[in-house]
Amino acid sequence: MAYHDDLLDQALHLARRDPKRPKQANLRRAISTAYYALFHLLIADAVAYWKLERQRSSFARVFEHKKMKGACKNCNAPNGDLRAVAESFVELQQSRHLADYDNSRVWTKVEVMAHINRAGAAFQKWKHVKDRTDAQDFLLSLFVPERR
Amino acid sequence: MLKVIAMLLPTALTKQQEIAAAVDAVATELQPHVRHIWWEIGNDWTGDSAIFFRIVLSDAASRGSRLPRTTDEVRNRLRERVRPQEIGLIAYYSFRSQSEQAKLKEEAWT
Repeated sequence: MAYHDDLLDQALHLARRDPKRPKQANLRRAISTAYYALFHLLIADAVAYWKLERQRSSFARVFEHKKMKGACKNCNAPNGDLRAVAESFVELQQSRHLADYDNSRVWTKVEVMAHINRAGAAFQKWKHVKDRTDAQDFLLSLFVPERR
Repeated sequence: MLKVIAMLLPTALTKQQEIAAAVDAVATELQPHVRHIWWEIGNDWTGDSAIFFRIVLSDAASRGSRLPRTTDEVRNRLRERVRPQEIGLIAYYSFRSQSEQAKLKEEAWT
């Protein structure tokens, strides 16, 4: 199983622990993990285009959260599934930021499950579109600096 | 002077009444599944202008396989009615069930 798939499973596992009284620590980690699942899915597919396999892990390190968010925010692809993946990325990243850094925020199981579902739906949509030319252009936009 | 200030205000801030009306309409259309929609305009973690929706769902609409369908519908309706992108806002959605909110009683969701 690929790392990003494991992360999505792990997010679900964390969210479903302690069904009666979910722990904030588990809910926060579930939110963060759901975001990282999508983050690593997109990176894995982007670096897969790099021919030299031994260099792929180095290439994967050029991806930055903020840059990727900017590309997703500006994604105006005509394909609805591709736009949905980009929107999901932006939304999950914001939640991940709150979950990781805002300790005053209280999370509930429904809220966390809604985010994990969003990540899961993005995985499905990405599978449908990943081989399209606009999806390949989208992957490139995730790490290439914007033109000024 | 007023004209200059108006020009400097982000479009979204001048459209608060329209946004409120659109959100109320969505909340009414999606009853009884949607119990309440709270929203505010602010900035996200990177400083981009954003609209944050906090949606309280009925317990029935928050359960298992119904949750993704409910949340998709709420997102789609709000996107259609509010059109956040056209007024320069990124939309963020958070969902909670009625019983979760009743337990937590957070003002930010009422």
